[in-house]
Amino acid sequence: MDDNQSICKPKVFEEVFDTHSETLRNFMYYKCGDKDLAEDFVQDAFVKLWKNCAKVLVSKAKSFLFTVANNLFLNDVAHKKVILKHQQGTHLQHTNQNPEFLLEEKEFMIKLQKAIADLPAKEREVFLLNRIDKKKYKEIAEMLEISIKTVEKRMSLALKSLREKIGNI
Amino acid sequence: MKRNQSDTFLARWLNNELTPKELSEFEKSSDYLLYKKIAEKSLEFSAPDYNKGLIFSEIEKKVSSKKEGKVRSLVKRLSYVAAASIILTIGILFFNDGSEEHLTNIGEKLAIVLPDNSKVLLNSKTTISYNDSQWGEKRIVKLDGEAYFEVEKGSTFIVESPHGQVAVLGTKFNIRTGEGFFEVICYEGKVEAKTNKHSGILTKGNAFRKQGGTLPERWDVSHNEPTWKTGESSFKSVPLKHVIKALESQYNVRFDLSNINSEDKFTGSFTHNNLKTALQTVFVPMKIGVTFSGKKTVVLEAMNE
Repeated sequence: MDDNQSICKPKVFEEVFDTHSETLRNFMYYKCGDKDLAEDFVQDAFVKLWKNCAKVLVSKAKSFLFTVANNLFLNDVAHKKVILKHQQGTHLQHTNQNPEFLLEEKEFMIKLQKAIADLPAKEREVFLLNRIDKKKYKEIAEMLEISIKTVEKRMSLALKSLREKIGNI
Repeated sequence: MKRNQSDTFLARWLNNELTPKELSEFEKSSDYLLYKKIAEKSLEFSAPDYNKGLIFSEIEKKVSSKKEGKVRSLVKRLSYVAAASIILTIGILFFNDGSEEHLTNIGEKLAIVLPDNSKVLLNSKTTISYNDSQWGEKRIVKLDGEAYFEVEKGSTFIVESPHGQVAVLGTKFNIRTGEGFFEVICYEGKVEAKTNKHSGILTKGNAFRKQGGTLPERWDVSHNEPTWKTGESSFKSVPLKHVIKALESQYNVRFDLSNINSEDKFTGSFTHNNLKTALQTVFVPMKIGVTFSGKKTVVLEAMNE
């Protein structure tokens, strides 16, 4: 999408929605752990984008949305634990896993999930945007309007505290 | 790991940006395997499901409900967008416009009349869509949520939901759908309920239900129309999570389920008129304690015997 396009055009607006809404929802979810609340934020952010469609360039839409949603979040105090879904069967090569191994794996996933939930929000959002939404550090930096270096620092801190929480296995 | 490593070391490692020397050193460290496992295993997680279409229609609703000076043109514009999105979601099947969509919000009910005079009553948080222009050829509606149908006699009438479909001629029936949940109760005439693998013919007073991976259940009911029409939702051994969904769509509240077993079965009903009574009728028999945290969040907790 180039900047000659106006977000006031419904088609462009829809494209922006299509491209960014899911990541935005996930980002907000990683922050607050509340799916409904996260989706409310997404709606409010897009309503605001529509109202400001004449002022926001397409190339800036993404950081506009993330900034707005982020600010909305600051006003809301309710936090819940982030709960992630675990997709099983991703490692088909180990089909003959014994029950003990499976149990250990399951325990590990539970520990990991809990450790992620306990991360400070700033570290968790960066970590999960990278791991789940497969966003590059550069993209995350753009979304959050922070430097790549900061993203890398938060990412490293996240890994470090996960490692400490999970301990030695 | 060495204390003097830079504060971006792990991030660079994850991104394969370490020099071969740095990497081989890191691989020898005692922490390496655990870091590797965390990095790999965290890829297996995913975020909760996301219903893009629904969010988009909510945005459209929010924009159109604002009554400000400039809004008229915005509403008009956005309604094009909304129309476009509806066409996108259901138009794929029809390759045609003339799509109609109706939805109800929390606590709302809506009666609609289809082009052939068949009547549909939507319970709260329900979406229904159909194609107006092709109605003469095929009577197909898509449903997500719960609705009661009174179908005029005519060609086959099909209700499609994410978890099964119902084909009928002329009849009255109720259908309730949800995550992994599909329930049909026939109040008049004859209907066929179909899921991927199973199907069943229902006549007056028959009920059919399929949940998750279990076999379908069948039973009989004695009432003549769904109780929710008159302001009460009834359930017969339905997992609590679906009952809670129904509560959430009737009252504007959210529940914290982390301290209860939401798979436990509930039989009974709750009123649509009084949240306090509704909460009592559901959770007292289930031995679950109810506490409000803030105005809209209800924390549930299993009570010890």
